[in-house]
Amino acid sequence: MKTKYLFTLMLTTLFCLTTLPLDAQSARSVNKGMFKSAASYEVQVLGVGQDGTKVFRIWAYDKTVEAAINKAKRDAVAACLFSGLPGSGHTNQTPAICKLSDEETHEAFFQEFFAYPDKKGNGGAYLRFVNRTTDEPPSGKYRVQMKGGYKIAIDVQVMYNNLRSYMEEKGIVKKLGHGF
Amino acid sequence: MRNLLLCIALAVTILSVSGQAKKPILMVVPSDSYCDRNAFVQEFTDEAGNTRSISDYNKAFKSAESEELRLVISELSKIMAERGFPLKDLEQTMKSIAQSNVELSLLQSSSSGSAIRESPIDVLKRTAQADIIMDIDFSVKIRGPQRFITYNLRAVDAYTNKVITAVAGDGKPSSSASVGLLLEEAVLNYMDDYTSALQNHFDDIFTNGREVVVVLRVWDNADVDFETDFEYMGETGMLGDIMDVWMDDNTVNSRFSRVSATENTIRYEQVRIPLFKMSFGRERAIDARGFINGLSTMLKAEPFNIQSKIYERGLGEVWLILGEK
Repeated sequence: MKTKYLFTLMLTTLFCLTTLPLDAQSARSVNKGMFKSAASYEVQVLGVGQDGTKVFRIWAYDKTVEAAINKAKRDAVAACLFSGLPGSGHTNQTPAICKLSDEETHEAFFQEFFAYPDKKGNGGAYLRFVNRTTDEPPSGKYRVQMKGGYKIAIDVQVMYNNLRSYMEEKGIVKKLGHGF
Repeated sequence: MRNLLLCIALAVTILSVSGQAKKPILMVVPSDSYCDRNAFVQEFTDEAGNTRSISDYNKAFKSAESEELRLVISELSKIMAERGFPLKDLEQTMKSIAQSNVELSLLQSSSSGSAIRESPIDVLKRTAQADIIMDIDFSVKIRGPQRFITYNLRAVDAYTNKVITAVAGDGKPSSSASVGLLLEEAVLNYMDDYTSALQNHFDDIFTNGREVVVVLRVWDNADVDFETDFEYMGETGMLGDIMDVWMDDNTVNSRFSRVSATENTIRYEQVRIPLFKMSFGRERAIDARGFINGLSTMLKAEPFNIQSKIYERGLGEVWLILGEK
């Protein structure tokens, strides 16, 4: 009876040891592919922007405020590309620029497009299409300290038409009436 | 040498054109309710003595109150042009038609003084035509000290009368913004959703073929009708049934609906036609006329020996009238 108990315990331990690192690995890969469509972006549209632009508030979480701001800016572009923007109040919804399948079809392109800038300042092209409406760090209810980091909200302006044109130029999405 | 250069230029043009499907014409047209609300209508009395009214677009564009309409059309045109799909302008088209009417009435050949030949149908067809109508309606509403815009924009297929997409809603009320600014905001607010739906419609066309209407008719003096029997592919059947077989063989995935049929008329709707067809040795873009040309050719040959006239109403509707040309 005791042997049987020990055998079960060993099997359970072995199972935990083999599966837990796999789960951790899987979570890391999911984090690395942060622009995947499964990502849910917390977005609140602030109104109808100037011609060709979208103005909205976006939340992001990271270890430091600066890192969270950078993540928010990247998520803002990703939201316009992959999930679209929700309608709010008197503002109509905005459809996603890309189709769901585009993320996988052009994965290499998007890895490069969404690359964070390195120390020399060489980063992905996404930075060209997003501006913060103010340089001030988020404060008050837009800067929440959480366990292991900060959740912040910033107001951004995405150059939606320019972003769309860029995607058309790179052959990721089709121009309206393509083929005619 | 000049001929050689001309041939090369022609070949380059043909090559560059191949692979492009026939492009639908889009036009912004103010809705009937907009025209009615703003008194941009023409009234007349019909044969039964009833007073009826139709939208008068000339009046709509010439009126002093048309400033808002022009602003909305300009904004829509700008956005569509940016997206690579320039719109045909209704106001300019009407001016152009009026101008060509004058020119046609004055033009004479220099040798004999002959005028241009025109049938009543030619005259009737000199109207502003579009394949997709962007039907716009808007009004400025007042609530207390604030004004806001009620906006409604639909894309309607001119031949199938199907609504491709529609966006509508109220804009954000404001007590300080001008009507022009509120209108611009309304257009911008809905355009991304609208163009996205248009893109889906075009994608559907490329996947499932263009949707058209085909009407088969018979001239009054024809010696056949759609109940006349013919032997076709080893079987005897009525001409109307043979038409169904041809449609079944030539539509994309055999998609068509026969909505009405008598011995004199057959009407097919939701006919999905291919965008390209082999013609004169290579693949060419076709519209409803190009599609029905195949049926006309088949009817001309044995065992039918029926001449027919093709009458096209645009990219998306065509009539084939049997009996003679």
